[in-house]
Amino acid sequence: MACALTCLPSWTGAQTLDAPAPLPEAATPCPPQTVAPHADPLLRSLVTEWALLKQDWCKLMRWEDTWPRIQYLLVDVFTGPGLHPTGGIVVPDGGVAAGLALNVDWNTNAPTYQRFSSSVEGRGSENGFWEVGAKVQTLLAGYSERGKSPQVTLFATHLDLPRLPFYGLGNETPQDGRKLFGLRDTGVAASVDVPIPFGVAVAGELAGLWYAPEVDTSFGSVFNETTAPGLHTRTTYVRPRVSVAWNYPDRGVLYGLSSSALVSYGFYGAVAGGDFSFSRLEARWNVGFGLDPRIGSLRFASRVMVNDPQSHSNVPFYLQPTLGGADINDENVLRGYSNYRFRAPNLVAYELNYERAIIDPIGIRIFGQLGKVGQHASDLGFDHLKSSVGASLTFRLGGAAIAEISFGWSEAEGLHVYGTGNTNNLGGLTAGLRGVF
Amino acid sequence: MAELGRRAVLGLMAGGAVAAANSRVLSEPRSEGTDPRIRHIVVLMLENRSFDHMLGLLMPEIPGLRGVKAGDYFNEGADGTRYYVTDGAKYQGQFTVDPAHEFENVHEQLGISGSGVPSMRGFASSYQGAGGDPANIMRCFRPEQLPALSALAKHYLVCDNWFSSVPGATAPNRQFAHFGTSFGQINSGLIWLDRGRGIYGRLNAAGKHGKIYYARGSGTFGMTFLGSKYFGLYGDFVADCRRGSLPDYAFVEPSYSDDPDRTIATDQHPDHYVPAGDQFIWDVYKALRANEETWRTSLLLIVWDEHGGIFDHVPPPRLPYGDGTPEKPFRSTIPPFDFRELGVRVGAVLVSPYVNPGVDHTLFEHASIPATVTQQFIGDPREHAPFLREKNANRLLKLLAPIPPRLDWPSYPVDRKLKGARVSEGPATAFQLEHVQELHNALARILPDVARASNPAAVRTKKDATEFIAGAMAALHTRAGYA
Repeated sequence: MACALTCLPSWTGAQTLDAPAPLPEAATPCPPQTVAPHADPLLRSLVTEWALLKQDWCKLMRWEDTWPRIQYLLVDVFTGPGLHPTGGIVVPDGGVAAGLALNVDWNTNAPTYQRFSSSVEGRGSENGFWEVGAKVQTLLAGYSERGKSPQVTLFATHLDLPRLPFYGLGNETPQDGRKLFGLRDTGVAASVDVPIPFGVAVAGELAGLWYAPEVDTSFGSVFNETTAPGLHTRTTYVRPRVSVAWNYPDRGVLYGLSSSALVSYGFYGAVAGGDFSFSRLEARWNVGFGLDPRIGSLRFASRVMVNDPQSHSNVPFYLQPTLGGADINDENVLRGYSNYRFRAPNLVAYELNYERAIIDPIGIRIFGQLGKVGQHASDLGFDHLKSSVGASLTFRLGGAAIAEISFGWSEAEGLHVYGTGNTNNLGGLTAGLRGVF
Repeated sequence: MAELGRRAVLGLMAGGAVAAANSRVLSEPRSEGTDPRIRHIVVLMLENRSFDHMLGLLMPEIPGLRGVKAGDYFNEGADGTRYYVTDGAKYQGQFTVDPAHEFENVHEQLGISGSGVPSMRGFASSYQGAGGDPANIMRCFRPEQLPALSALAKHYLVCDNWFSSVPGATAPNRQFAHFGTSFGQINSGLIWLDRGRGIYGRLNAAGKHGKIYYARGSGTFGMTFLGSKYFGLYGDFVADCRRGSLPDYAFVEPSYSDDPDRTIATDQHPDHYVPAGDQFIWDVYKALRANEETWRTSLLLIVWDEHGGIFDHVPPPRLPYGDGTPEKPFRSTIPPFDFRELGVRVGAVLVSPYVNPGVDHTLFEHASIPATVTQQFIGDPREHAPFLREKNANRLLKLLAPIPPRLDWPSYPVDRKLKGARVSEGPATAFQLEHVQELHNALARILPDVARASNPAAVRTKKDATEFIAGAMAALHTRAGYA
């Protein structure tokens, strides 16, 4: 202490210690909240969150600087442990959804591998789509490879999707042949994801999956088991899946060459519902090259999926991948077409895009996309590819596009407008954003 | 470094190596100005750990360090139970409730007595009041628990009088690091829309370049609207170090969250896994050393943004000036604050080939970061910095010693493989041979007996050169009192 006060250079225009710090005695509005300790993690999460919200509200009302206080309130409303509102969509064409998420950290004085975080989330949309899920996850932080650690996840989800579009199978289906079907999709799974050297990660998963399609008479009058396999069949699967992912460089870059690849193989073993066993092989390869943001970055993405039915089996139509607009996982391919536009057991897609800043934070992206679906893997050649071109206005934060409004055009369907985005870089507000979906 | 500069430094070494012994405990301010050896200033700012918590128990190993021993200090809980400072900090799981560190919490932790002097006795009761175990707030890491930080702290220079700029949370403190001010706010949120471009814009106007490198998943705190050209991801930092294309100023951000892509948080924020941050510290250091030219021209500061509610024993000082301008000082009315009071002490380690091992007691705060960058690349901060805190902040350049570039490696047991890997076989480079000869010349002036016992002409391979340089530097440091 004595040294703290004396072992300092004297003040000659630079910082130094003035005196034992006399502090203002004036009372501070909104003194710290007191929270009773709780051994129960759920209770602890909730009472802590409540105390934070009360304090945020008090300071919002009584302290200076309203805008920063609003930000803090939003942080505590939407992130961290406790109960939070969530928003977004359930699936494309499902409408805007909102709901609640409960996040609990099961932190105890325990080894890392015994520490779990859990999330429970439910959300429903204006169009009657809804989903609920729960996830328990532990990151085995005791081992890390280039900043990544193995992850063990147990999760369960249920989605109720009352009105999904179906245009028939193949590339030549008429746009006015659109019919709607319902699907209930339930799954439980356990997965292990392990990073290994050289930017590679391997993953394994075992899942139990239940699907229940619902078709009305209108749908049934147009499609049958041949044109929409499994339309009247509820299926139950056990699905083991393995995957290998590779990233170069193994830490993200905005500039220079980067590439990523993923190969996954899963076997959908039908244990109930009929002859619907099949295997799924999916491969993705992306390569990008980033230059100064005023010059731009170029990116090529490719994806192929092959669903191979066992002998005498079929792939249910509701498990076949789609191209056009956004698919059920909200991936945009062929943006100049309607969502879910083309469907078949096999798929190939390519995209080349160029993005650059115009005036920060606004940028522009131009893109061209090709792709098609096929009944057989041998159909996935370079002939008769569907195409879509377009441009996006991008919103750039932290030197990269995080949201965009896309204007996709195709000769067959003309203009389609899509909005996409992620929560990266929203000023640190979303660093604690969690949930299941 | 320019050829002339390096020779000039070697010429100074005879006096410098000995004089450095005196600066081991108390660093005398040297003449202010730029240092021609430094082309890159790199700052790694971690999250929410106090000085004593991270570095305090290094006191027996770094003479003069103002750290702690178990039992030195205590805080009382709400029921009067005494909680003594001790080791036993765990990597994860002791902060089930995030220790509160907003403005009102820090004032509670400082434990202001009737005379207005901080007693530093409110940490335990503050954490207890927030629902946490008060004993955990007093625990410190043993040096061997943090191998990278401890290795760098012992091998380079610890600044044990570095305080967070504001007795409050992340946002105002990180603003001081980027802007040299928090614009009068003690509780600013994390979206900084109307702040200008801070030190990055100032560098740009001077024809220099500053950049923020961040982790893709968790992003950058507060600076997201800075502009595209000011950003890179952490992988870009590694590549820029390797290619020798680092900007003049680089601010490195750790990952702030455990992300779905398996990225583990490296910021050391309670209750994130602390060794991940320790490994990240080593990764940043290792990246700088991947290119010898980059290393020889760099200054790295490892610092925490604020104490995160965790105990430190040194009362924050009060400055003779506040912030803003003399005509229009920054003040907060509700709650009252005049920006003369600093926040709680945080760890700071200065890593550079031009620092001697030891500890320095110069008073620093986060405004010292842009002040140092301004001093080195633009001009005197008293002229170029906009507000009082930064204008008056001590700069780090004065801590650089007139010594030849240190190429020796710290003892870091976890990464022996790496140390072995960089000593590759093959003939020594022209630069290495030149460096060997210059070191031998310096030895001849300072330690002629050591010089006579060594033979620079026998250095033929990279391995020979590395061993010669390490031996020479060890001898010089021994002479300067750092054995």
